[in-house]
Amino acid sequence: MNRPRRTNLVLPGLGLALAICGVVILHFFPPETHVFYPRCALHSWTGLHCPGCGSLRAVSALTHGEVRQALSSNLLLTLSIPVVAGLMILRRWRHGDWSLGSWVPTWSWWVVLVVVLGFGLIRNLPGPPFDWLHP
Amino acid sequence: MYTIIGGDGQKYGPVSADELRRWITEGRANSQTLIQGDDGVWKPLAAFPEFGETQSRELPPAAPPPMAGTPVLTPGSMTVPAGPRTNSLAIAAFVLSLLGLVCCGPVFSTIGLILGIVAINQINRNAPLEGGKGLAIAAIVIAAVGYLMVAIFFLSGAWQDVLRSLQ
Repeated sequence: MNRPRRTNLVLPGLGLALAICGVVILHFFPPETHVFYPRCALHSWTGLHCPGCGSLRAVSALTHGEVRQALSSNLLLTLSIPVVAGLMILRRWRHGDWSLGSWVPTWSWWVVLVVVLGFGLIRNLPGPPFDWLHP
Repeated sequence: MYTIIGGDGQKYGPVSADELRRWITEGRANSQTLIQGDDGVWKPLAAFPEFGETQSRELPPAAPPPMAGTPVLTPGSMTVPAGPRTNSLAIAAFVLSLLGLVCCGPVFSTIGLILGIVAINQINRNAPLEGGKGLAIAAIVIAAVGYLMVAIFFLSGAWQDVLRSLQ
C-alpha cells in the first residue's frame, strides 16, 4: 500500500535540463580548444589540481566515447558516474523513485567527503603513479 | 502535559494525559511513538508507566502489528519510522557545498550555505526524529572554505593571469 509521493519535480527537472545543456555544450566545444570555460581558482592560484580539475574535459571526452581520456582527466568523476547511476537505478527498482538522498546511510556522505579530499591530495603527490591522476 | 510526534513527522500537543490516552485507544500512537513529558525528554510511549494500562488493553498481542514503513492514512496517526532519518536539505547542502569547493565557484557555495542554515533550523525543530546536523554544519564550513578560495583567487591576483591567458 503506497501513497503516491508528491515529490516536487521542478528543481530536479531544472537541474537535469541544465546538466543536459552543459553536456551538449561540452560535446561541441571541447574545453581543450575553447577558452570561455570557468577556471579553477585553486589551480590558477597555486598550480595544484583540485579534486574537480579536469571534470569538464572528462565529460567532454565521455561524450566522444573516449573513456580512457575521461579516466585520465578526472578519475574520480568518471568512476562516480556509473556508481551513482547504478545506485539510482537500484533505488528506482526497489522503491519506485530516484531519490538517493535519505536512502543511503548518513555515514556514506562522510565517506564522499574523505574520498574527494583524499583524491585532491594524492593527485598532487609527485611521481608515478600519482601523476597519472593529473588532468 | 505531553507532546507527541506522529507518523507524519509532525508534533502534536501539548495535550493532557487523558487526551493522550484517547489517542492511544484510537490507535494514533503506539508503543514506539516518541513522547515528550513534562521533563522535556523524548521517550517512546512504552517508557511511560502511566500509559502502560492503556497500551496493554488497546494493543492486544493478537492484533497485527503495524508494518514498518506502512503509510498511515489517518491524519495525525502515528507510526514512528525506525531511527532518525537524515534531513534531506542537509544532504543537498552538503553536496552543493562540496561542488562549490571543487572548482564550480561561489554559486554552489551560496546555495549550499543557505540550505545548510535552513537544514539546521529544520533539524532543531524536529529534534528527535531528524538527524544530519553534522552534515549541515559540514556544508556551511565547506561553503566558507569555498568562499575563501574564491577570495584568494581575486586578492592574490591569480585572476589577472587567467585574463592574460585568455588574450
